[in-house]
Amino acid sequence: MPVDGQSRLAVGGARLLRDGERVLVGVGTPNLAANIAKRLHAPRLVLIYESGVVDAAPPKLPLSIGDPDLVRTSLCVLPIHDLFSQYLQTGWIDVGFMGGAQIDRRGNLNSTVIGPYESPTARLAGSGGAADIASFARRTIVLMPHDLRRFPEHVDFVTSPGHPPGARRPNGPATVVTDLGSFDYDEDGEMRLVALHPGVTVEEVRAKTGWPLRIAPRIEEIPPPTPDELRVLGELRRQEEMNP
Amino acid sequence: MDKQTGIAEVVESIPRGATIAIGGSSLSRKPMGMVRALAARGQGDYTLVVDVGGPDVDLLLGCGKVAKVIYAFVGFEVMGLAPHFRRARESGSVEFEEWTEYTVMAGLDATVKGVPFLPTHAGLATDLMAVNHSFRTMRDPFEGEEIVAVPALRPDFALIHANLADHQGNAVILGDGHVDVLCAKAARHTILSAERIVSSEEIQRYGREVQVHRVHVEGVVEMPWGAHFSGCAPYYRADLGHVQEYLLAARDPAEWDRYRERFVTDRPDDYLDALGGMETLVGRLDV
Repeated sequence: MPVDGQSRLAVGGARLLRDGERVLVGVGTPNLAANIAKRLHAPRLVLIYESGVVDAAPPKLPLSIGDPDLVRTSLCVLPIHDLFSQYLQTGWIDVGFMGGAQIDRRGNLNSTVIGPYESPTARLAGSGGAADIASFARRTIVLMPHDLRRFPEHVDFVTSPGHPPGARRPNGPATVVTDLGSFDYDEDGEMRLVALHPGVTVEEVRAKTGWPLRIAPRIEEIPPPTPDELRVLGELRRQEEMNP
Repeated sequence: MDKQTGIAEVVESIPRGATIAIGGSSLSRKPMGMVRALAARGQGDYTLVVDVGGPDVDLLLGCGKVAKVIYAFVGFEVMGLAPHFRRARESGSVEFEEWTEYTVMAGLDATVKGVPFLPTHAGLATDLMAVNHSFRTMRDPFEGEEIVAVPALRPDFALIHANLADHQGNAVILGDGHVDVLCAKAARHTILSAERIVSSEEIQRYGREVQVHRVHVEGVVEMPWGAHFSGCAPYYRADLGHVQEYLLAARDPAEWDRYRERFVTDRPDDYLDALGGMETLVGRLDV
C-alpha cells in the first residue's frame, strides 16, 4: 500500500511526541498525529484541546475541538482563558502543533491572507490561537504538505512568528514535517533539510522549495510507517468517516 | 428579578452600530437563535467581537448586518472556511481587525479587571502588529523587554447560549466554556439564551458550576436547540448536514436568498419547523 502524504505527516508528527508530554492539539492532521502517539508509544501523552479540554482520551477521533466525546472523557475542562493565560503563556505546554497556508525559510507561518493584506487573493481563517501557541509552547511542530506555493521564501503575512534574526524569545518551529521530509532550524534560524521520506530526493525537495534550501551534513532516511502505525491511523480515519 | 424576555425584545434592544461579543466557538454552542434573529431583523452596522467565530459571524455577514469584525479566527472547523467571511474580506466591504485568541481574551479580561490594557508577548514578531492598529508595543518597565499592550475590549452587548438558566440570569454551561464568561462580564449588557429555564433552586444545585451570574445578565430567553446548527454539549452535536446545506447555499446568490427565506428568522419555532421539527433533530444529533 503506497503511503499517502497525510499519513506521512500524521505518523511523522506522532513520532516526535514523547511519552508524558503535554501537547496542545488542533483539528485535522495534528489530531491524528497525537492520537496515534497516544495509542502506541506515548500512552501517557497529555492531550490538551484548544477548547480547554485537558487529558482527553477520546474513544474515537474527535471531529471538533468542542466534541462532546472530548468533554466526557477528559480530566477536566479548563476555561479556555485559564488554559491560555495560566498554562500556555507560562510555558506549561510542551508541544504545540502548527500548520498554515505558507511557511518560509525562517519558519514564519501564514494563516491570514494569500496576496497583499489590503487586496488579498484569498482570505484564510485567521490566527486563532496559532500566534499564541507559537509564542508560548516550549516547542512547536509544523505539519504541512510540501509544494512551492506553501514554501515561499517569504510568507505573504506573518501570522505566527518564526526565527527572525536577532530574536530574543526562543519561538518559531522546532521541526517541520512534510510529505517529502523533515526539517529543523539551524543556529542562524534557517530551515534545514535533515531527513527524507523513502524515495524522495534532495533535488525534489529543492525544486518544491522557494529559496536555496540548506541541507544538513548527513541526511537521514525516515523509516516508512510501521504496520502498527498504519493500523491505528486506519482506525482513526474510519472513525473520522463514521462521524455524521 | 425576572429577566425573561422575548427574542423580539432582544433584537429591538440592540441599536444600530452596537459592538456585540458573541460566545461559543466555531461550531460549538453559538447563540444561533439570537444571531438568526439579528440576521433577520437586526438594525445592523454591528461590530462583532469573537474569539473563534463560525456560523454566527458568517450568517450576520451574509445578511449584511456587519460593519466590522474583531476576531482571532472565523471558520467552520473540519467543514472548511466560512464563505461570507471570506467573500467580505476579499471584497473589502467590511472592516476586519486581526487578533489572536489570547489577545481577544486579554482584551476582554482587561475590561473585567478595570485596567486599560494587559501586557503579553503574543503578537511579537508577527504582521498582526502592523495591521492591527489597536495593539501597541511598549517596554516592560521592570525588565526593559519589548511587550505588546492589548487594549481593553468593552462590548456593548454579549450574546451567549447556556445549557440551563434561571429567570434571574444565573446560568450553567455544561460543556466547554469557551470565552462566554469573559464576554458576559466584559459587556455592558449581556443577554442569555438557554436550552431550558429552570427554577433558581435547581440552578443552585450546580453550585460552582453556575459560572454566569445574574449580576452580569440583563435578559434571558428560553430557546431549545438555540445553538443549532452549532452543537451544545452534552446535549447535541453540531449539525454537519445543515452546515453542508448552508455552504452550498452560500455559493450562489439565488440559493442564498432561498436559504434566508427558509431559515433566517426571528421565530425559533418556525426555524425548528423548517428543519423538520424537534423530533428529527433529536434523532439525528442527540448525544
